[in-house]
Amino acid sequence: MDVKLFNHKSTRAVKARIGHALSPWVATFEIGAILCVVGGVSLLFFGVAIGWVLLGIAAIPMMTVKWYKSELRDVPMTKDGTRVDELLDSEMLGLLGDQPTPQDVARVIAATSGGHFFAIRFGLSGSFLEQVVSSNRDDMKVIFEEALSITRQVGGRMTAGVLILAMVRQLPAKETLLGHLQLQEADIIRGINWYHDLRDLIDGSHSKRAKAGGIGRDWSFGWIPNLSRFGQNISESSSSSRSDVHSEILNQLMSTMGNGRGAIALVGQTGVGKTALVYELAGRLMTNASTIPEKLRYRQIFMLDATRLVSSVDGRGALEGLVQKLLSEAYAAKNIIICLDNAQVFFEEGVGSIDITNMLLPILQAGRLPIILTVDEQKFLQISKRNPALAAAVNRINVVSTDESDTLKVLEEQLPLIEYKRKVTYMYQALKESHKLSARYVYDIAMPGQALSLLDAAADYAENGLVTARSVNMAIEKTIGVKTNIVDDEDERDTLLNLESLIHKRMIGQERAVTVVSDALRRARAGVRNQKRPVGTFMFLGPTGVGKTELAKSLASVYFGGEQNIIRLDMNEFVSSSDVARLIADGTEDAGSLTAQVMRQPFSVVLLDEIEKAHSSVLTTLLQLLDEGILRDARGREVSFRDTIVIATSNAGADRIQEYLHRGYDLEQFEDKFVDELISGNLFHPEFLNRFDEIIVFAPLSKPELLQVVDLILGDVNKNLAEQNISVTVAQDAKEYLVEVGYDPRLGARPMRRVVQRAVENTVAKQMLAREVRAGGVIEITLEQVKAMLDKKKQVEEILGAAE
Amino acid sequence: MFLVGIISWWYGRGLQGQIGQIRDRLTATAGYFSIGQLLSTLFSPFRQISAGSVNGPIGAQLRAFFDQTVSRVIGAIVRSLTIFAGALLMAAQVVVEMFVLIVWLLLPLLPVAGLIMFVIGWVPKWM
Repeated sequence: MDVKLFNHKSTRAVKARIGHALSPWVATFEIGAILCVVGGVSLLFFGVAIGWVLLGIAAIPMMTVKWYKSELRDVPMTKDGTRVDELLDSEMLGLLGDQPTPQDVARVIAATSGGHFFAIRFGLSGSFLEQVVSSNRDDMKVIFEEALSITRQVGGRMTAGVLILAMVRQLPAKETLLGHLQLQEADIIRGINWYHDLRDLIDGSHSKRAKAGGIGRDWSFGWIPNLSRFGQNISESSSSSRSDVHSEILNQLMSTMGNGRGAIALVGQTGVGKTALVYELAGRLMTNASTIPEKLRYRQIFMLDATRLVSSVDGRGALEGLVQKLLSEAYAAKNIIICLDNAQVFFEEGVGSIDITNMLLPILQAGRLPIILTVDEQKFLQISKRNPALAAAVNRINVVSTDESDTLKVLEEQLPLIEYKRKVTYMYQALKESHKLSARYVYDIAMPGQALSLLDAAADYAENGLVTARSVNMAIEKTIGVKTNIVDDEDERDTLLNLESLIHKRMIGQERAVTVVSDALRRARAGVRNQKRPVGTFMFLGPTGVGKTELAKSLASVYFGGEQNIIRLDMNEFVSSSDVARLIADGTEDAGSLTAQVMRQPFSVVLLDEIEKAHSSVLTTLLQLLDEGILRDARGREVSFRDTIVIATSNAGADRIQEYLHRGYDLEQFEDKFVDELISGNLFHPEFLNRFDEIIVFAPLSKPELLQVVDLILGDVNKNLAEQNISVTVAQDAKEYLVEVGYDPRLGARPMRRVVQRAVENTVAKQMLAREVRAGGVIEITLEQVKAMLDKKKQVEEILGAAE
Repeated sequence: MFLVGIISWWYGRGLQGQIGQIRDRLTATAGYFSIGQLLSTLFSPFRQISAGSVNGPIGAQLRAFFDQTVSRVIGAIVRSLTIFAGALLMAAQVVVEMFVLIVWLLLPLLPVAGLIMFVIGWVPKWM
């Protein structure tokens, strides 16, 4: 091995090895030192001079233990080092031999804390690497060079993760391995930095942080009996975090407060971290760092939970009195910053809120007492509109939701706390999945709170105490019924592969439509579809009673878990531009709006029946849904349609379809021309039709298909009769007669069910009453019986009239 | 290597670290008493309890002035006592830390010193 790359005999390497050799003996040395001191003093006490020797010898284990704990346990890296032995983590360096092979390095990784971290968090263990890397010494050169290059990217520390990545990069099957683990190289880099942060946190926790002020602060500032009772001194409990996620806003907050501009409103959606930011500020002020403005030194933050204050008093007068008292106390104390959490409840009348704007406004306007308000974004807009003076009295600081990188940082930071609370361990993949899925399915809360809430819920689905990406998937699947994972269940695989035949158990014909819809679903569940669009968007065109709606229902029943998982909107109820509001209404105002239904049930078939009747503004609103799979509701929330199949049906131009067919055209021959006619006839705009994955024209059913429809209906009748243990068969000529009577060119096969049910069920009922059939018997219905039942023209017309 | 390593560390980085720790401990004590803060607020009312500025009859104003003065005097006494206690404790701490430093410097010599004392054969007389 080139000593310019790795010098096994360097002072640091030797120290690391000494440290490793000493580690099992440290406790023995400590006990030995104590025994020597006690023994030496005892001997001297009894006048035996050899006690001096024991006392002298005690110094050796004492010094060794001190040396071990202060330096050898974690030999500091060489500043500006360029060799592996200068930068490698001391724990690994102490275990590494003179001429290591990649397999030796993998073995060493498996034995270190950094290796354990990557094995558990990422599924990348040293023992696994040992099996896939080479045993050739010469290969180490490339790995060490790669590791040095990565080290420069991650702040000059070569820990287990760096060597893991360097080795993974040399693997021929690198992509397969990473793909299997659902990782990218960037994730491992992220993991390395995460491990470094954790190590810093653990090392930092050994030295207790000095708090600002102490007894001097307490004697200098005010007496606050009421604040102590109703408020929470978060400066006592908070600690400054290491992440730079909020640092920009925090600096803005400190500078605004440091300039003496009293009231600040932290405005943002629920979950963005407004309260966490205040805790962060409290922790920062307690560090007494030189960057803290003089005006904020020794300041403590008292959190007043507005909701709690409102509930602890009776009426507006009492609340005003209490708040006045608390703020006066804080002002007199001279070292208090007040934080009003959920401050919106003080500025509006309603359930659990009392408007005390008149009392608070002069205090906020005067700006003498530093106050931080945390307010929901929407509420702040409402308050500002109602009371512009209030909005003008505070300095608004917007807290926005975090992006993926910052969200992951927050999750990594919060993880030790959650893991301690839930007694589980999270894999990194779970964090990523949590961000991805919560962005899509968790509403009413913003990042990073969105991802945190899902991560917390995923703990309930941990396997052997480990929360994986699968646990997060299950948490979503169980709570909102969306299938998020790529298919791995044998039953589901069978369902998907045989989707067409399963659908055809419920509906007859329309092969193309069934195939197209089935293909879309298979693509989705195999994970090869565009994730930023709905699973499939289809326009079904054709006359009434040909199976358009039935296909949507069949799909919901076969794959989406039942016909209840169909969200059906009759678009003839959306005929004016004002109906757009009903389409996207908030769930609290209209639970039946499209957005509200999809929020509740994101894994479903969305059926937009008779789409041609909807107003053009409604169709324009639907464009984004079809294009990107999202629709903003009345509250501005993005509702995801990315797990739905959107089916729009229309019988526009049905006469033209009949006409083409009468003229002897096949569907394929006139389909495109027909769609063009719909556009030129201004029935649909081209930009609307172009948004659909497929436009499928349904042809009227042929006679053999109608006979199959009769069989399907008879199957249903037999299901109903199964309770009486009776079955029915219908003669072939009788079925043909039923087709003849039940089929109507205007209504398609729609009246068929009623005709068949009426003819067969009436015949059965009569026979049962006449005791011509008993339990276990089979009723054979002949053409004559059917005719006798249906030839009464009036009755048939009645049935047809009802079907219309 | 072991002997050279431990001795060079003991009088090099080890000693530096020890001095750093002593400095940190003294700083923490100073921070705890925050003498600077106490001095700057020496004559402020005790725990900021005072009548504040009162507008009204001369009697009420005189009473407020009296209350405030009493509060300030109590504050000054409490703070002065705290400053005194803090200064005293820090002085004692300096002495202890100096002793720790001397022990650090002499500890490597202890095996040799013990051997010499054994050879001399002197033992302290307790009674």
